[in-house]
Amino acid sequence: MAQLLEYKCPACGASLQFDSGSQQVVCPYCDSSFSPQSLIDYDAFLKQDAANANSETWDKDPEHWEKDEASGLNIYVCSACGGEVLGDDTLASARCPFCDNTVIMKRQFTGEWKPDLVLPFQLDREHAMEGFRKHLFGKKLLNKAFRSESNVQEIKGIYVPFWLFSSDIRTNARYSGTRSRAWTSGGYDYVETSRYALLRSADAHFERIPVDGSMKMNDALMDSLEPFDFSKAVDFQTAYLSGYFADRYDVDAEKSVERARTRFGNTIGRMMSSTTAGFSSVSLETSTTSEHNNKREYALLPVWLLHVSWKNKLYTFAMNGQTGKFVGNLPLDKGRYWKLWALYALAIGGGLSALIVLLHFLGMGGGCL
Amino acid sequence: MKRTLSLLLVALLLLLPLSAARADDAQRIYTPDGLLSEDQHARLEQRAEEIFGSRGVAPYYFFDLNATELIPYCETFIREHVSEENAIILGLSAKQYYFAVIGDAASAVLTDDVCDNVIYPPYSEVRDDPASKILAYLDAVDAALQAETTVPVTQAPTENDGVKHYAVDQMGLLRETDLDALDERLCELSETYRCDVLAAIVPSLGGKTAEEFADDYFDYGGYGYGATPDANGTTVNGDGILLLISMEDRDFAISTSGYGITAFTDYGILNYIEPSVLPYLRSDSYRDAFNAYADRCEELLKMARDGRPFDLNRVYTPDGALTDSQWLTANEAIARVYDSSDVALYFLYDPDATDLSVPIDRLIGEKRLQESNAVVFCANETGSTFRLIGSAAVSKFLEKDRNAIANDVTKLLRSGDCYGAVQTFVNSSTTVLNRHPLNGFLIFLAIVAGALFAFIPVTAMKRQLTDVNQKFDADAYLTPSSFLLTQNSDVLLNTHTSRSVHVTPQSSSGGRSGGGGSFHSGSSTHTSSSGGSHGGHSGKF
Repeated sequence: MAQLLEYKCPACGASLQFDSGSQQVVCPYCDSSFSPQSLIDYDAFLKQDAANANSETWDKDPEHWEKDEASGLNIYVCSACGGEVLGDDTLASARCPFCDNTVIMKRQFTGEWKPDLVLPFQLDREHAMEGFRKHLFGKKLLNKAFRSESNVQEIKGIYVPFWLFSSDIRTNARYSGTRSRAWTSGGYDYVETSRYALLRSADAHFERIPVDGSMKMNDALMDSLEPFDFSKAVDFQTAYLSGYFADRYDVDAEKSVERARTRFGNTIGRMMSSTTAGFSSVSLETSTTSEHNNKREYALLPVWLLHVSWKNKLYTFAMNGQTGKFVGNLPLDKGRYWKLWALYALAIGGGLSALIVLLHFLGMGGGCL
Repeated sequence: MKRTLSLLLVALLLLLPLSAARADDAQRIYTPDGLLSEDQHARLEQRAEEIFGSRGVAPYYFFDLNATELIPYCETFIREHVSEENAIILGLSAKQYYFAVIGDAASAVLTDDVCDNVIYPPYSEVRDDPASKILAYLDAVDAALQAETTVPVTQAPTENDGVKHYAVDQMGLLRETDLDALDERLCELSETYRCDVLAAIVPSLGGKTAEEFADDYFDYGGYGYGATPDANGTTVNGDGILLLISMEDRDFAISTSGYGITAFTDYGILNYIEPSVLPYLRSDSYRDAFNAYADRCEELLKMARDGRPFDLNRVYTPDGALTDSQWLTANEAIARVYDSSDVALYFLYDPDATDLSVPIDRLIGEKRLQESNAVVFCANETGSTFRLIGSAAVSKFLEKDRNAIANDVTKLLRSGDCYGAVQTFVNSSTTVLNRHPLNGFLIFLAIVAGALFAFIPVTAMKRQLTDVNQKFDADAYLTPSSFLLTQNSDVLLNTHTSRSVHVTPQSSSGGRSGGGGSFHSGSSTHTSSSGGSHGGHSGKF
């Protein structure tokens, strides 16, 4: 028992004593009592918690291009928005994929970071047009004029730079939970409230969380294109770029990993708290996560971008070049929105009113002789 | 100089809230400053308050070294400080002491003899600190009052002198002359209406309930007009009514027997006698309470003698116009209408009335109509009239409604169908009462609800247009079955048990609210220990 004497009470922090009568470790200040085993568990958890602060590092930067690999590639610079994309000579007369400007200048490509992976385009331009038509279908509040008047200015296939983060996540979380039971005996109501420290550790592996590494691309738009099937990813070859633009990453891995952290942190938090069922109230006290066996990959993912101008406004749509998932916000027909609202309001309000009137007249019979 | 002045001011200011706080409570112990600690004084005040609470006599004490003439000083003291009706004051100066007793009840018990030989000795014998002395005085007052109140309990109510007393006061709360006058009044009433009207004040119930005590007081006291007592002086089912008051826990009971059960209905006791008597009892005005009791009893006996005992009834027709079951059905229907709409319907048919407002005025004058919202319909051979009481009735019964109902009802009355007339009146009135309150607010709520609920489908449609959303979780990238819980232990920190008295939800005993609920007329009765049947009601005041 010698080592137990050093333990501090998990409830109040005072030094604990062993009570030989009950074979329990008791706190003389707050009347808590613990089995020795539970204290050993608790202590082990705290030590583990302290150790968990050390995450392994992420690789900083991808490899350089081989000199000859980049020879057929040009950098295209948009004179309007300053956006830079990579492409081969077939794109000489292209428009800027970001701002749709026609004036685009070519510059000799001089070597850049080389992607690890590429997910080749599996759907072509026709699929993108078809996807757009389907996207407009069945949307009751879509502005009707948009369907007929909108005009697809440009469809561009772009390889968008993504960082893919994979990691083993180790999490320690301590919750405080209470459990109550109530009973009545001898003319008294009893309520017994027990307070627990819930100790949870878990390991989880996350595989290839994609984070958009291009400043020009809207993060939300890119997130909405998920999921990509990375099993079809291949090692990068310049040949895949032929006929498509390729954007270069301008948000580095160190910055991008923060978004991945937020995402797996939320998922882990939810998973952990799902293990604390059965308590009447649970609150998180502390939580630490550490990252191990980290892997960071630089990948080019296929995206079809469509620019549609309508009433002097540019609407951007995107299609997952692999799965065909089509996303993009559409303009609302405000007049139709309120018309439909009024219709529903009239129907529901009118129906309820009619019901009230009906009940009123039905209820009149009471008290008659 | 300036410094001392400001110090003095500060001291005065500090004293100010202190004296103000004392003045808030009833102060009964007055001593020179510094004689008693704040704590001691509070305890003595509390003891004095207890005695006043339990015995009804407030004990006062003052000690003033500067008092020269104690009697005028004491008179001033009483004027300035004593507000209770019954009180005893022990005043002391440097040289002498003086007892003052005020109020009839206190004077009856705390005679000069008791003050000098029972209360003062314990006070003078204690030689410790002043607080103990004053406490001894208070205890002695308490003991003297207690001795007096417990003595008469053992005495039988009327065995004093063989004379039948209609009004009995075992506590001395009434003046001798008032008691005699009341006794005479009740005796006269009893003879006139051939029904004993009795009133009694007793110190305690001796462990019985107020109802039991009152029934036994009546039966074993040989009361009841026209009943002959048996060898033990007990009567059964004699005619009479008794108002019994027990001072110990401020209980009261009204017990009726024989003809008293007929004349004094449950409704009459609850709605006619008690509302006028209980307020006086609560304010300890016993003489007024008994006078009100005698007045109400006389009125109720008169109504009963005229053939209409005061009872819950809203249908008044000439004898024989309705059968008993028709009358009951009509009253029950009206009671249901009252339950649902809070408006009481009254139907008066008096073929002999020349002025239709006379029967209505009489109804109200005799307090047979007690509801705040009522529709009174009164008809004679030739015509009819409405009187609407309360805003609910006035707002609902429009002139055209009244005309239509009057038309239908009088037609039926003329054709001799009295029950049909009552039916028509009740049914048409119910329709009128139910027609108007189509709740505009509910309709308004329905429209607001419709406007709010309409957002649900249109918002869903609107949401179809936006599918670009940032993702904040990585659920899709968690490798299936890679989530492994390596530690999962719940360490019990502590357990806390709280205890509170178990409260079983109780349904409140109803029937107290005047005229409400479903229709019940007549008197409910129970059997007393002597085997006699009694009606009545009891409670606390």
